Amino acid sequence: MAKVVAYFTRRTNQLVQFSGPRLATAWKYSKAELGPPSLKDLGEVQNSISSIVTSYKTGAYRKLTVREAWLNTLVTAEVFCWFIAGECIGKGSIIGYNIPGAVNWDMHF
Amino acid sequence: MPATPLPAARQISPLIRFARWTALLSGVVYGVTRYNYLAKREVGIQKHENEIREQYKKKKAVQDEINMKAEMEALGKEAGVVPK
Repeated sequence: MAKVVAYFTRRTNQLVQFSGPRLATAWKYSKAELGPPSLKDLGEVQNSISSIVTSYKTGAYRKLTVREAWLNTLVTAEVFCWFIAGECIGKGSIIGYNIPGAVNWDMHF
Repeated sequence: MPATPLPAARQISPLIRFARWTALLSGVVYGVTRYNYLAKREVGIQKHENEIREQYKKKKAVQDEINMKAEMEALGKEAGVVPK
């Protein structure tokens, strides 16, 4: 029994030692790249939105290259997928709305 | 393994980050509200379906009686027992 405890404590220490700095770098990059925009950035957000609106009004969007348009489409698709991810979190399930009494996931032969 | 310095973090445009977070949070709100709306509707639907289930159970019980009587008579005929 003491050997088992010693083994698991040694392995846990190794795990903590291994993952500590790696998790720290991952957190540093995540905070910089994935974090929400700060209050200072909201002005930039407004400028970006108004520039998109003016490019639509003036017809300048037709001068975009196909590559840029494709990248914009991909970004829009990704934002929509984040909405779906949020909906899955809100409804508490991945596939459907599991209302008790309304769902039956059993196999029907 | 010698540590090579990792590149600096990329600058993601604030509009994209704002859009992602807005989509995520509004998705959560939408999921919660839609779940509550469907759960509220389900109460009335379950009541209605329970009534239908009751009626079906009664009908099934009547039909089961008839079937059992017919089976017993057939068995009796095979066994040569005269029904009362």
